[in-house]
Amino acid sequence: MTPSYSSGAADPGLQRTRRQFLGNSAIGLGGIALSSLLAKDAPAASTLPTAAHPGHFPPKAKAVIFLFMAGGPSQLELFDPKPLLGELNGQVTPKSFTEGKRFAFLKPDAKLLGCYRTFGRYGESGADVSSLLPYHRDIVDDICIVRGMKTDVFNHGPAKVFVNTGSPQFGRPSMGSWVSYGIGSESDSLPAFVVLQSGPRGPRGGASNWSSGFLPSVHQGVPFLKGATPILDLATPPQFTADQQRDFVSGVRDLNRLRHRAIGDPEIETRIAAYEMAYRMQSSAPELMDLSGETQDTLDLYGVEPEKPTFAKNCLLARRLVERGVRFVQLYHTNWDHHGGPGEDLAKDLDGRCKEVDQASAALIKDLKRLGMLDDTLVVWGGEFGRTPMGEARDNIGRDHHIDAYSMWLAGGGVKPGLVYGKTDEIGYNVLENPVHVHDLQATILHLLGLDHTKLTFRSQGRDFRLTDVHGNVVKDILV
Amino acid sequence: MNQPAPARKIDRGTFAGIMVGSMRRSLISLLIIAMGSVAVAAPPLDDATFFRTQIRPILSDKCFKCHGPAVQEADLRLDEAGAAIDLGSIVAGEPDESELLRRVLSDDESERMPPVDTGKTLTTQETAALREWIERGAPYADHWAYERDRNVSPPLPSSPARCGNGIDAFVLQRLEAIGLELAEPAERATLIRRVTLDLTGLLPSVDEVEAFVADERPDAYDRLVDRLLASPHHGERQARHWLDLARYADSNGFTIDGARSIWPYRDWVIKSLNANKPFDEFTIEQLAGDLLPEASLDQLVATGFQRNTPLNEEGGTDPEQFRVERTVDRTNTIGAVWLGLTVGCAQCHDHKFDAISQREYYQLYAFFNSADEANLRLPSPDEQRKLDELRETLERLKQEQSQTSDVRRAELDQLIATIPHEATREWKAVAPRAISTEQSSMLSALDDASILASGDVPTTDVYHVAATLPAGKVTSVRLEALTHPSLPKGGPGRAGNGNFVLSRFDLKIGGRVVPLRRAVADHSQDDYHVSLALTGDRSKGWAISTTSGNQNVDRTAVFVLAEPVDLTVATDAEFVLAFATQPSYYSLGRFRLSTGDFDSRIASLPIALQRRVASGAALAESELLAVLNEAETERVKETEAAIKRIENDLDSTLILRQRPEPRVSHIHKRGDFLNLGDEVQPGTLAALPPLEPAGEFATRLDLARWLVRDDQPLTPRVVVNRIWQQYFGYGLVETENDLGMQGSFPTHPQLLDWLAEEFVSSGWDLKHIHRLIVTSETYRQSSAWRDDTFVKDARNKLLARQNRLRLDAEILRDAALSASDLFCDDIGGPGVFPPQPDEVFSFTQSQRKWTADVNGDRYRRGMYTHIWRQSQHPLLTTFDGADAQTSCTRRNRSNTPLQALHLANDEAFIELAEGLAERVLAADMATDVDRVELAFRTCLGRAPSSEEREALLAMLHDQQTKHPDTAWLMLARTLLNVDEFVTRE
Repeated sequence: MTPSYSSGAADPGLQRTRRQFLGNSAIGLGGIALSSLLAKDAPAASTLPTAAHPGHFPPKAKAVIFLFMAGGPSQLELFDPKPLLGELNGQVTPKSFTEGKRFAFLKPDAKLLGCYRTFGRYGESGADVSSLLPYHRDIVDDICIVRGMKTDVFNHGPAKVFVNTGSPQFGRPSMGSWVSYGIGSESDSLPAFVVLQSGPRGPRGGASNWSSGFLPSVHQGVPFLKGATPILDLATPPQFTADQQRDFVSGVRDLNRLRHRAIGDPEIETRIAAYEMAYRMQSSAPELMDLSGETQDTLDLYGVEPEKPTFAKNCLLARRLVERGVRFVQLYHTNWDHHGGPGEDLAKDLDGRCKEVDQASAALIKDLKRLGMLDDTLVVWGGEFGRTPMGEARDNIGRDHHIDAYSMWLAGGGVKPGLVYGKTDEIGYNVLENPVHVHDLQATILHLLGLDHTKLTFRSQGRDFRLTDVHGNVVKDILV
Repeated sequence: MNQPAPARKIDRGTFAGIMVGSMRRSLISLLIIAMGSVAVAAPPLDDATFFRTQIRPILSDKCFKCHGPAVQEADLRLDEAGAAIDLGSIVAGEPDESELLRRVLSDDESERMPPVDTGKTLTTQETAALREWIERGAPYADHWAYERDRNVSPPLPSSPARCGNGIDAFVLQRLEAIGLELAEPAERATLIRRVTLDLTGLLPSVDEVEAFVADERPDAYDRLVDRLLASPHHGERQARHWLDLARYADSNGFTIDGARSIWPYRDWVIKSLNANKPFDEFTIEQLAGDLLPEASLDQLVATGFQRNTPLNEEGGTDPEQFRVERTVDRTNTIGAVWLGLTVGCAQCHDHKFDAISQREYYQLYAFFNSADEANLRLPSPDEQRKLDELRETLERLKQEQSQTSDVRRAELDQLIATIPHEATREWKAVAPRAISTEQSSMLSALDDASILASGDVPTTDVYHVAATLPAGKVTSVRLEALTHPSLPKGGPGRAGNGNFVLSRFDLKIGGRVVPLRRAVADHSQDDYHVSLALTGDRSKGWAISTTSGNQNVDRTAVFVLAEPVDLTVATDAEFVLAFATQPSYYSLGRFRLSTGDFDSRIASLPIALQRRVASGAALAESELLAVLNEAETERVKETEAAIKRIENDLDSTLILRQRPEPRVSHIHKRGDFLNLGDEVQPGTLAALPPLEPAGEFATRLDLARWLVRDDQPLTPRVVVNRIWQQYFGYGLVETENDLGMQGSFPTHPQLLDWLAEEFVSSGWDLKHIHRLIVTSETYRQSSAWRDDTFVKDARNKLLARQNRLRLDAEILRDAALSASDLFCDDIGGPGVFPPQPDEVFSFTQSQRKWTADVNGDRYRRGMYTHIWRQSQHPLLTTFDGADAQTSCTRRNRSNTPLQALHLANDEAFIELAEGLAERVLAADMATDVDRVELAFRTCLGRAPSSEEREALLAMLHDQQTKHPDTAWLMLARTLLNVDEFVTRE
C-alpha cells in the first residue's frame, strides 16, 4: 500500500482495506473449519489496486493503443507536404525562422532541404498522404491527422520521456501508469499497461518511458518479450511440472490464509489475490501470444508471419490485449532518426521504416473497426518530435530533430474521423493554426478515458503532481 | 460483526456538520478525515496548534498560490500574520464581518474563493474551521518546522508499565487521548526476526532465535540490540537507505547508460555508518570533503555523494545544459535530504508555499556551480609502488631528453664515429637448413639463399625457416621480399596483384623467442606499416601495394632485436613468417633472410640511410639526431603507456573538486539556463539561521557546516523522522521530504522535537537514535491487526500496534540468502552479478553484459547487485527499489502479481530455495516433521502452528509421492513465498 497520500480520505488503498475489513467482519472467521476456509474462493481481483474503477466522468475510450515511432518520423515526408521547400532547396534558412532556436546537430547556416516524395489526396477528407504510406490511403477517413504538434525537448531520451510522462526529467510516472492508477484495468489476468517493442533495439530512455515513477509500482508498464512467455519470470521453472505449480500456488495460499486468520492484516489478502492473478497470467499471457486462433485473413490484413517478431505482429497483439481488457498498450518501433548518417538516410532508410509500419498501422484501424472496437479504442500514432525543414550536411540526406511543428494521428475512441487538424507555415517550420502541445495531447487522451487531467493527481514531494504538470488543454476541436 | 466503537462525544463544534447519514458511515468518514491531522477527540487546541493543524493546511493548499509568498492578488497575502487584518479582509473576532469568510461561502461562482478554475473547493468543515479561526482573532503561529527551540520533556505516563523510554511517553499520551493502549508486546521470536531484519537486513538464525527466546535476563533485548548495532551488517543495512537518498547507481543513466565506477563511495558509506561517524561529519565530508584542510583520500571519496547524478552521453546534447541540470539536481538533493524542503519548486519562480525565493534558490545553486567533476584513482599499495617506479623512470627519461647539449652531443659524436666502421659490416645471408609450412604451400630454397613458394595458395599460411647461425653478434634481421617470374605479376607476394600481408615475424634462437623492438622497411603500404608485423594481429601486417608506379619490385625490411644477442658458438635458429588470415591468400612468394651485427641504432635507421651508411657516404648530423630522438621518444612513450596500463586497471571513483576560479552564478529566468537574470553569490535561506562563512566567500564547506549547526531547525528533524520511517513505515511527519507548509503536520510534534534534540545533543549519534527507537515499547509491540484501532485510527498513525512492512527489494534477497545458507557475507567492493533473465536487455538501447557470477559473488547481498540505472535487476524494479534518477526519500511498498511471479519463478530465488532445501536435508534430524519445523523456523523465526505444520506436511507427503526429487524444493519454495516471509512483522 502506498504511503504517498496526504489524507486517508483520498487513499484508494485504504478504501480497499476498509472493504476487506468490513467483509471480514461480516463473514466472521471463528466457527469455520480449516478445510472450508481453504476451499473458500480466492479473493476477488478487486482486491488489487489495478481493478477497474470509474474515472471523473463517463469515458469515450476504454483503451489506448499508442504506436510510438521512436526517433522522430519526418512529417515533411509523410503527412505535411511543402512544395515551396523543394523550390528553396539548398538555400540558407531565413534568420527569422531560426533565431533563438536550439538544435541537436544543425549549425545556424543550415540549408533548406526539399522533399522529393510524392503526395496524393485520399478519401472523402482529401488528406495528404505520402507515397511512402500506401495503406494509409484506406484509413484517412477514419483518422485525425494533427499537423500542429509541438514539444519542448529536442534530445531523444528526454523528449520520449516528455511525451510519456509530461516532464523531460527521468523518473516521473508515465501516461499508462497514470491511466492504470486513474481507472484501473478490465483484465484480471493481464497487466493494465503493456509495452511491446519492434525494430533493432529498445527505445532511448528505456524503462523510464513506462515507469510508474512515484506511483505504486503495480501501475508500471510491463514490457512484453518476444516468444511464448512474454513476461519476465512468467514460465514455471524447469524443475517443476504444471501440476506442481498449481500445488505451489495453493500451498502458498493456504499458509497465507492461516496467517491471515491469525493476525488479520488485509494486506495478506491482497497478496493472495496477487498470487492468484500471477497464476492466471501464466496461462493467459501465452494464450495471448498464440495466434493460431486468428484467421489467415486477419494475419494477411496485418502482414503477420506468426514466427516473426515484427511491428505487424505487435499490432495484432495490441488488438488482442485490448480485447482482453488491457487498458493501455504502447508499441515502440525504433530507428526513425533520419539524420543522413549511415543507416539513417531519409532517401532510403525511411522507406524501410514506412514499409515496416504502414500496412499494420492501417490494418489495426480496419480490424478494430470491423470488430466494432474502434469506437472505444483510441489509437495514437507518432514520435517524440518531427524533423527540420533544413537538411544536415552528412553523407546522405537527412534532417535534424524539430520540436516546433510536426504531425501525429489519432483514431477511434471519441476522436473525429477524417479530419486534418492544424496548419503549418509554407516550409513547415512553425504552426500557424491550431497548435497541439504534447501536454494538450496528454490532456486529450486522459479526457477520452474519462479522466480530468487537472484532477488526476498524486501527492509527492509536497505537491500534487499531474501528467500535464501545470499545462495542457483538452483539444475539443478534434473530439466527436 | 465487530461494531464500531460507540460514537464518542465530539467536543468541537467544527465537526458537527458532518455527523449526518448513518452513524457508522459518518463516524468512519469523520475518522478518515481526521486522520490526516491529529484532531481526533483531542482536548481543545491552543491557538498555535489550532492554526498549524487546522488553518495553515487550508491556507497553504487552497490560497497561497495566489495570496502567498510569490503572488499577492488584490494585495492580499495570507502567509503573513496580520496582513489580511490590515487589509480589512479579516475582522478579528467577527467572522460575519469578514470579507474572507463571505467570499469562501459565497454562492456566486464569480466571486467565490477559491476560484472555480483552480479546481479547489473548501469543505464544510474547512469553512467552519476558518470561521472559528476568525472568531479566535485569526491568530498565526510560525511554521513548526522552523522552530529552533526543541526542548521538550516527555510527559508523565499514566501507564508506566508500558513506558520504556521517552518515545513511549509521547506515544501513550496520544493513544490515551482516544482511549487506546499499545498492543501486546510482540512474541519474542517475532521480535528478534523484526529487529534483526531492521538493523542488519538478515534473518536471525534458528539458534539465535532459540537463545533469545530462552534468555530470561532482564536486559536480554538490550544485549540483542547492542549485538546487532555492532554487526558490520548494520552498516550495510543503513548504507542502502542512505544510497537511496544519494541516487546511487553503477552507470550514467539517460539513453546510453554507460558504466561508471563509484563503488568506493558505497564502501565509504558502509564504513562510516559502521563506525557510527557522527552525522555532522558524515554530512560535511560528503558535501565538502574536498574543501577540508588536507583532505584525506576518504574525504575525497565521500564527495561521490554529489557525483551520483545521472549523466547524459547522447549525441547532439549541449554539455552546459546537462552540467546545469546536474548542478540543479545537487541543489534539490540538499533540499530533500537535509532540509526536507522542496527547494526545486523555486528553480523557475519563487516558491508558492514556502519562504524560498527564486534568488535564494540560485544562491544555493551557486555553492555547487563552482565545483568540477573529477575522477579519483585509488591504487593498492602494490600498484602504487609500481607506479612510483615507472614515474621515476619517466621523469629521468624526460630529464635526459631535455639535457640535450652535452650528453646528446657526446652520443651523437660517438655514433658518427662508428659510421666508418659500420660501413664495413655486411648482412650475412641465412642458409636455410629446413623449411616447412603449416598449410599447403610448397617452399624450396634457391641458389641465392632465397626461398620460393609454389603449389597451392592457401587462404593463409605460416612459414618456418630453420638455420644455424654462426658464432658472433646478431643485432638485426633483414627480410628481402623478392620478385620471381613464377609469381602473379612477378610477385613478390602470391596475391593476384603480387602483394602479401606479413602479419607476424618471429625469431627464435636456441629455442627461445628473441624479442624484436623495431621494424623498418623501404616501403610500406598505407595502413599496412611494417611495424604491424610485430603485433601479431592476423588482420593486419606489412604489405607493399603502391598508389602509383610499379609495385612488383623487391622490397626490404629490417627487424631490430630488443637486445643484441652474442653467440659464442654456432646456434640453431628459427624464423617464423605468419601471413594474414584476413585478407586471405596474401602469403609471400619469394624471400631471403639475413642477419646483421650493425649497431642497433644504425639498423633502426630508415633503409635509405642504412644504404648510405653501407656505401660509406657521410650523414648529416640532423638526420642522425632525428633518429636518436625518435628512439628516446619511443622509450618515453613506452613508459607512459606502461603507466597508463596500470592506471586503467586501478580502482577509481567519481568525486567533486572545487574549481580554482569560481563560476559566476545567475538567476535562471523561468529556470532556463540560457536566460540569465541577476548575478547571485552563494547563500542560504533567510527563513533559517544565518550562514557564517569562514572566509571572504561562502563555500560548500560553509554550506555543509550550516546544515549541521546545532540550532539548524530542519536537519535533525528531517533525519530522525526518516529514521522513524524505517521502523514504522511512515515518518512522524508523513511527508518525509517536505516539512514545509505543504507537508503534513507531525502526528507527534513533541516526540519529533524530543528525538531531534536527543540526536543533536548526543553529538549527532545515529546509533543512539536507532537504539532509542528499537528499544521502545512502541517498536516492540505486536503488529497484529486490531479492529478497535482500525475504527479509531484507520492508518495506525498513532501506533496502537506495530506495522507489518513488506521487505525492501534487496532485503528480500538477503533474507532468502540467509535462509539458504548460500550467503556470502563479504562486505564492500564493486558491483556483482547474480543471475538475471536474459530478456532484461531486450528493451534497452544498448545490450549490457551480464554474465552471472559463480561462487561467492553470486550470493552477495542485494545491495551489491550491479545497478544499470536504465535497466535495473528485475528484483529491484519489481519490488519498488529506488530508481536512482533522483533522491529517493521513501520507497513505495506495493503488492503485485509481478512480484508473485518473480518470487515464485525467478532463477535466483529458485536457486536459494534449493539452498534452503539442501540445508534442511543435511540437518542431523530423524523425521520429516523435524525438518519441516526447521525449514519453517529458518524462514519465519517462530515455530509453526499445528495447522501450519499439518498443511506443510500434507504438501510434502503429496509431493513425495508424485515428485520425490523436488518435494523438499517445493516445500522450501513455498516457505520463501508466503506473505510472512516477505514481511517484517
